[in-house]
Amino acid sequence: MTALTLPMEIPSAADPAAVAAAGGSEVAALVERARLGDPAAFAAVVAQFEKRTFHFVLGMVGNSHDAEDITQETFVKTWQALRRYRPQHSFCTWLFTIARRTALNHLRARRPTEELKDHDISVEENPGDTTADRDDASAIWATARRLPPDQYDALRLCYGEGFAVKEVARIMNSNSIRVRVLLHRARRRMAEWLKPESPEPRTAPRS
Amino acid sequence: MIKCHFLRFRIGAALDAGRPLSGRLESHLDHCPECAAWCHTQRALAGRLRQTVPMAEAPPFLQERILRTIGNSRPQPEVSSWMWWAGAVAAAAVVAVLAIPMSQGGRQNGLADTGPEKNLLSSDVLLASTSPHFSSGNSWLQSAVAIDQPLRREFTLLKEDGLNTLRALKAGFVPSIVLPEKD
Repeated sequence: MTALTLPMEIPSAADPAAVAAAGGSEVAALVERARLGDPAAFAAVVAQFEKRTFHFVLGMVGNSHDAEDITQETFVKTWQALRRYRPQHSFCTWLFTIARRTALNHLRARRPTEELKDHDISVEENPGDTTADRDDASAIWATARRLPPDQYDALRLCYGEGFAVKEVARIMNSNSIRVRVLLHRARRRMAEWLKPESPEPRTAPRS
Repeated sequence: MIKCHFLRFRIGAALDAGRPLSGRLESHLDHCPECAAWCHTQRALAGRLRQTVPMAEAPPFLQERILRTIGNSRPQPEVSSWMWWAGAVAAAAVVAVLAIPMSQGGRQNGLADTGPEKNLLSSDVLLASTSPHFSSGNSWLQSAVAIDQPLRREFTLLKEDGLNTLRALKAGFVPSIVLPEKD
């Protein structure tokens, strides 16, 4: 078995929006090469989406050990099924669909063993951010994790990953109307929880 | 109040999509202080959610682990839906054709008494069902014969070649396997 090396010119995907906007054609070219069986091109795809996928899965399953396994399984499934991918759809949407289904299968098979620890999540830092800003951001997404699972997934995909409502619906195997309702409820609930006098929200477990 | 409820949903949809509010929504906000306050809160919340996305660091070994698992394999070949269905129907038909004579005890074709030949035939037909030449659900009988020819044995499945098996079974036809004599 030969170890694969990553091309050095492939950037990592620190900013999801930037990758979605600027890297679309680049990703499409890499995916096309990978479809033809080029492992180096797929290695570059992994480099681009690994971090986002890992964090999305981590938010779903709640512990980093399971998230690693699920992220690995997601990319292996993606590689194996790459010839079924239709380029007229976004690759990222397809990848996240696989990731979410893999995570849901995992959750059905095994209940979460451990609560998400604060140290599992680090906030992406912007140079201009103050400590107070980072605490605020950390608090807002920590609160979001207490939403019912579908609402959290919709919120994370729409606001965290920058997917359009239609794409979120595709990833969640749902329809746009339901996703809009999920987002509406999630925002409304978040606004209530984030009021200074609001009570501590209860965590909604994934079933 | 009902109007406010629906308009708030539309305001939220606009915030989710990151697009500006329509003139109708803006004019409602001008006249409804409650909805204006609600919109202000929701807009601030949407902005905060977008501004700072928490991102966990993936472990450094994960990427290598993924690539090592993939190894030198290649993406699996695509199976088109019509091929899948044709294969499934053909396999089901072959299994049905084989199962019925076996359950009949081979009385009608006399093949059950021959022992090894019956087993050979069963395995050959199943082999045909998984062969790449075995592509059409309607011509499976011809395909089965064709696949068997390289094995230098000939047999006929059903006396009417090309008969649709499902149709035959539905009509109560009991298929039989006949092993012709070799030349």
